Amino acid sequence: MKILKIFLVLILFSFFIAGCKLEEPSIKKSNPVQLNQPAQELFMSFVALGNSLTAGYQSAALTAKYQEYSFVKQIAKQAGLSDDQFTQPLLGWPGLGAYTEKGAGILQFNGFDESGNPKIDPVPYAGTGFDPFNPFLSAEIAGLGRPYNNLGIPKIVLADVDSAISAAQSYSGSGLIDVVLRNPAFGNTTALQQALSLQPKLVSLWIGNNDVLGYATSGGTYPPAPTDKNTFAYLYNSLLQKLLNAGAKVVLANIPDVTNVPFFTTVPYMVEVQGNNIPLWIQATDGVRQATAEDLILLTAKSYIGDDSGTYGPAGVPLGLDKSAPLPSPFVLDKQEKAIARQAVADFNAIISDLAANSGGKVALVDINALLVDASDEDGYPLAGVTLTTKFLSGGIFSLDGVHPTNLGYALIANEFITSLNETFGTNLPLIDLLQFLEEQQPLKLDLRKLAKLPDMLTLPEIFGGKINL
Amino acid sequence: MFKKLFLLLFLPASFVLASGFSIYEQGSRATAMGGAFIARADDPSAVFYNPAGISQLSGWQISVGTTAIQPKFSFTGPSTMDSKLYTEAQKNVFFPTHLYLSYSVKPWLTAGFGFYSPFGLATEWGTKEHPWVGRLLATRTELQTFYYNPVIAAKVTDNLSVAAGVSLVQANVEMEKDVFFTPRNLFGHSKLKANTTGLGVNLGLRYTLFKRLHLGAVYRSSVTLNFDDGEARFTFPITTDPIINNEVSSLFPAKTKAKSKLVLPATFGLGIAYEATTNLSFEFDYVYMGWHTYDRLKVTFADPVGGEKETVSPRNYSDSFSLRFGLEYRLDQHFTLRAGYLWDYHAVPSAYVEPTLPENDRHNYTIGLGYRLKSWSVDVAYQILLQDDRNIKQSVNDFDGKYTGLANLYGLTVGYAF
Repeated sequence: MKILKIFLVLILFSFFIAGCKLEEPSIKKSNPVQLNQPAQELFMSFVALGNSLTAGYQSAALTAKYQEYSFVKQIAKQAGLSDDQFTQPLLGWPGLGAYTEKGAGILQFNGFDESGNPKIDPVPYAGTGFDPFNPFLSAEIAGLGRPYNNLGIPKIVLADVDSAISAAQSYSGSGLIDVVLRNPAFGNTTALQQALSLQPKLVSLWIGNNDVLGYATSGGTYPPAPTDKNTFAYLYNSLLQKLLNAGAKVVLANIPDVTNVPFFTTVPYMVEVQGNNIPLWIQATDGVRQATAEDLILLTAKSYIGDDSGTYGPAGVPLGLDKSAPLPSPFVLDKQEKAIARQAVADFNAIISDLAANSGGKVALVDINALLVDASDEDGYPLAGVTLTTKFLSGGIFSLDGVHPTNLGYALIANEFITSLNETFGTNLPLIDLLQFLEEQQPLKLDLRKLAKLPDMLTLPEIFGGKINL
Repeated sequence: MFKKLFLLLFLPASFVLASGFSIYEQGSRATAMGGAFIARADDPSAVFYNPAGISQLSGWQISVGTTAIQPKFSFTGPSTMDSKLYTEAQKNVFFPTHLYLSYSVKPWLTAGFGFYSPFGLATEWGTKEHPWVGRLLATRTELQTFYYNPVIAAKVTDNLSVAAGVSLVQANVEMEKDVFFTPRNLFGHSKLKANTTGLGVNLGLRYTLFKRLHLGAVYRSSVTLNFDDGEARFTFPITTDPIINNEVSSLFPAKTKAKSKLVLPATFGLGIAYEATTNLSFEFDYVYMGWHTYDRLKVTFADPVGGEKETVSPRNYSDSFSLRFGLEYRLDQHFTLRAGYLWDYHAVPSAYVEPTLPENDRHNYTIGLGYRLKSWSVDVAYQILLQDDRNIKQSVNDFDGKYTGLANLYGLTVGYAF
């Protein structure tokens, strides 16, 4: 009995000393992915066609610092392609874009003013050594002897891909056509011809956004209507067939609904005047009236609301706050115009998904619209403790122009493409590690010497001593 | 104001509660028997397990002890990053202690007092030098509760006794995590700290049938903890850019008051014990915990943080229960052997599992030894908690991966009867 007791006590105390240990896995980290056969074949020659979203445009300009994060470059990186294997028309700092004619490049976020409004200004060319007439980052890039792999050209519409050879000879008139295509040096070839000359195995084609976005971002004024859907279907189909006939596999992306883009969703339709919320007066399709929740006030309207200089309405009457001085039509996507834009997006997306579905497995489709619809709901897009949303400035997905993604936004897009490629073509490209991506992002610092001297483009004026509440 | 755009979705938002954060090990004798003690309740730890049980105790009795809890948790993932990346939580040991007194005032009336910590938690992932992959969800979380619990028990008949008590509850909480300031790609750190007190009641009932079959029932109310006077601190690295430094310091107060509310769940338990022989007895208990009280976490700040005065995050915990089985065998007048098994059902729905409490269903095996000499008693217990691996696939935080965990618990309680 005594021995038993001692034995039991010993057993018990051996537990105390040993405890139980967690079984550790033998592998504590994944090995780098070896690309499989389909991936190696597809990425022998990878070419991108599209608009600003493909080019890597961000914060109202195209510049090398952010072109490095174009979604196609990020995909190429995941496929192990070097800078020489996937070339881009890299531009110097602060780049070409919406403010080029005003002598400035990319938008920067310069903190807040005293009333808490963010100060967002373009970086002027003066003092940067940037030459808008020779905008390339280096002579080597400017003089690359073959077309760039990234042939995304900001602002172009669908019809331009297979027809435009210069800004002058294009539908969109985009000045960047000349920069990217470098005609006549390249024999007055179109983006499509340049792409095919690279004998692509895989083409990324994300086009058509500007066929509706141009209409929408101009408040339904210029162009006065989205591209006709029959025209769109014809052009898209013929473009796709030319790529497929050349033996390429193609990955397509659809078009995001404008109502999910901060350019349209940031400025509210009401302003607070002396404590009261008053709907803005707008020039709508159905005449001058007060805005409702159905109307979208564009981000560009912000610096003009309350303007009483007389430039946009009668002098002395704050713009948008009186029937006699409605917000002009280019600043408003009213209810009818919004419906037209949304219908166009729905029509275009139906055309794109039909074509993808009937391609016999040679076309992958990326539902970017669904990604943004997802991110724009209340829960946003959760990412291990950060919640990304489609909100302007704070959301993390859209850059300072409210239309184009941030580096991280482009990474999300790249991951959607990679997922679709892997599912459709059996490739095994690794997804971009978004958490690692966050860690690697440099804090966005300002260069005080280059701070803008231009007027604030996005600062809100005070109205009647009250402030616009957003 | 435009600052309102800064919906601070990256704010600290994770109190942690779960079935696993309840600590049922409040006496080494009961612990050794899988915590199945509601019907038996025949030592001073009855104040916690079933206060009606103290009416069995004569004279003055005191017992004091602690349970060393040594959890080990790991996370493999997240699948969005590297589905094989293995992170082990920092090793912490904590020592919830217990102290009980009972005094038989009259043959039918017994007074008792208990001090114990039935809820508590400490998790820590990564270090400052080596931050872990989930740093934006949680880096360190600690919660302590202390119950000061006087009770009165009365023998209604020879077979039936009832008891009631009140608890003054003191709670401390600390939560730390990193935050990410999206517009500047800047990592900072947040720390929430708060303490408060609350009140609760407990009731017990014990009934004996045929002298050998005992039934027990116990209820411990929920306790509302209003953390009205908490403190939130935000620290960001100083950059070389004064504009960013000003921006960050105006958006993130270095220190501000923070307020929150937490409801500790109500507990309801039933037990049945049977004395098979004079030396051998069994008990089976069912304990239910009303975790549904933890449906969301709201933190309100005195000064706006990133333009927001409050953050709300859904938690949506559900009620859980445990099944407990224990046996005791008396070897001789000095030594007693005990063993038990208990099964905990999880409280955190899959989508809401996060690193602050990597919880799941748990199997627990217990073993223990009692030694009695004259008025002295010494009880030791060992419990191994084996948690089922939990593969999270649809986390609301998009932080999917595999949580594994176990814990070693070592109990020691010393008693003395006057």
